[in-house]
Amino acid sequence: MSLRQILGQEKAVRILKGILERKAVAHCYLFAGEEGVGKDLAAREFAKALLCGRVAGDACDVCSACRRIDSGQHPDVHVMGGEERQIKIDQVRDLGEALSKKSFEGGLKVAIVREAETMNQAAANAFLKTLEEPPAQSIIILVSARPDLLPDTIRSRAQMVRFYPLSRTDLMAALAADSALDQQELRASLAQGRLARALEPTLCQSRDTFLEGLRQALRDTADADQLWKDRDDIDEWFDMAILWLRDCIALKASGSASQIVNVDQASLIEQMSGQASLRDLSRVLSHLFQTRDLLRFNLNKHLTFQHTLMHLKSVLS
Amino acid sequence: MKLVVSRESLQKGLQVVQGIVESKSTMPILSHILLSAEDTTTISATDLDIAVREPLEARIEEPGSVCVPARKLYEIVREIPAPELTLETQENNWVTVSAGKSTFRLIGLSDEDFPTFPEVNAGEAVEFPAFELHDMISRTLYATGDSDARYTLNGLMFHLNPEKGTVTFVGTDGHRLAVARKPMPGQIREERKMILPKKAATEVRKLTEAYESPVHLTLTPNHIVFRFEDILFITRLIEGSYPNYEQVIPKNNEKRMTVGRDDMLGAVKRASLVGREKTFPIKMELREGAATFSSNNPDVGEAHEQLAVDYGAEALTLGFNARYMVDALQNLPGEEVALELQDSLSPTVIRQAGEEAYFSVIMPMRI
Repeated sequence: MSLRQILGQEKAVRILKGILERKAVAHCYLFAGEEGVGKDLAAREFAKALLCGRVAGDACDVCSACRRIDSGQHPDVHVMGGEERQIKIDQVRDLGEALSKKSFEGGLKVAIVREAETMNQAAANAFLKTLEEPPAQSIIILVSARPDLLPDTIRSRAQMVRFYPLSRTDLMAALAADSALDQQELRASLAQGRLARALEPTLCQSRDTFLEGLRQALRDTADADQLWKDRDDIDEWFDMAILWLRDCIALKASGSASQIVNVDQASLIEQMSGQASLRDLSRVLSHLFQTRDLLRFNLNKHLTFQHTLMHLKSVLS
Repeated sequence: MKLVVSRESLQKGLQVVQGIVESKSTMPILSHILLSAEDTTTISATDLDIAVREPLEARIEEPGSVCVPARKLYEIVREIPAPELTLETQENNWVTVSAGKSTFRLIGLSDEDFPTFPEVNAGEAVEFPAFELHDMISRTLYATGDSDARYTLNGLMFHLNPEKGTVTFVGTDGHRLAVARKPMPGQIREERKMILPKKAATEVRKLTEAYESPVHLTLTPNHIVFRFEDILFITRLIEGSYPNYEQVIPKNNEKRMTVGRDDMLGAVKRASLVGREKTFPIKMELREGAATFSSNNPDVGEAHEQLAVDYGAEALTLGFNARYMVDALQNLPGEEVALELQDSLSPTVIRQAGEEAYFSVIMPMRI
């Protein structure tokens, strides 16, 4: 991979290549954009381009530095976060210490902070210390799908580079390259511009499982423990539920199936949301958004389930 | 790559790098050593802060290089009874180790994954007598900070000043400062201020302890390369600027007190026995010809200790952290120490009496 090969992020790539070509690198960037649109990839490729130096404005992808960054073995590239639910203060301190040393191979040092918004308060405050007086020759790349959750003090010290959801054409092109993936039209819709999501092998099955679960729950024959085995399940479920409700609203408002995401389920959508008014549907949708936003805290699973189901039952049948 | 090597020399070589190789690192490559056989054979290991490259006596049957898990290879070499081992690389970085009737196949890593060592000849070179390096590091290392958020304080300042012709080591944690200064043995073109990480300084101190020849240093922008005959020891430097330590050293402390080093050390240690833990505050009352050290702790009691000293100025009372005082006294050479004082809240200088080479500065406490 190299920067120019990142799909569907022309604008962000143009900005990054410009930075590299002008050699005007700031000390901290914030790569912001939805989950699965290529931010982590871009961060790695940007790091490669910064340390490679064989091609102007991009990574060569063949030199030893590029290959070691790819395999996570480069001594001057530090990656933090993205593994656990929180980034803790010790990790931030370790990173600060790593950056306080001069670079091992003599060039720049790059720190990539994945899911930067998961820094807890203590970690964020400690991180601020590093950001305020960045060690020389160090570039910090924050990656976040929820930059709004980052403290202002951190956000204001970083240069934001925005990543946007991919166009349907780009998604379809990427999907076409892998014939093992079924129902490509539906995939491209469900992914909502997120390439990583579109490429999940089980995307369509999870949608079907969700639908099955939703119908059982509406008939009171499924409970929280059955549907939500872990946190990922819950996140996934809310993603699907929001899309489903969005479809109900789209179908009701436009009266045409051309606007819906679950392209293969038009009749079921109509049947389930038959009686509900647009106003009620959008009220429930905003409830779902709200609850999803609260999921980053430790919500009680059963209460969350009951609460959500109560709202869903008021509009869906 | 194919090598034939004596068990003894391989074991010795591996032993040297065992301490550097990390076992619980996030980067798997760091738990490996790089075996490289080109014109000669070398073993390299690094934990990214420090790196070692040493020669290995071996018969090269086929040149090449590969990364081998350090710990496992060491364990194997230790258990093998045969006097000679053959190491050979195979496809996908597998390494066969055979000796007598035993054969091991180890999963290695590509030599390309190993961190590239800095160019060891790209910088100015100086030579130091090993005992001087050892002495200067030993007498200043204690004062460096420990996991301080001001990262520069967690290292030892190594200052080469060609204008004054001096080499200075400085350690400080913000409360006390230790300085060792000597004439520079060689010449360099420009002034260099380098901050050695504490771990590296500790290793250099160990390596110089029993070493008799001069140590050859190469100063690159990011590293210092220490050469001990065939062994290369490379350390990364700490980024950033060290506090201006010259400014901290008081220039006009006129009140002087001289005393036997061991006498004062004993007095301070005893007086601090009942003091509060953590900060160990002790009070030092000076009057003509005598000093009294005392401490008290409402939970325990009091301690007083009298000591005859050489002091002629007006009476003065100061408070100190006894720990800092003990550290400073313990790490000064010579039998007599001189304290240079100003008033009860100004920094105090403690030096070997009549010597400029070693001294320490301690901030007093309010008592």
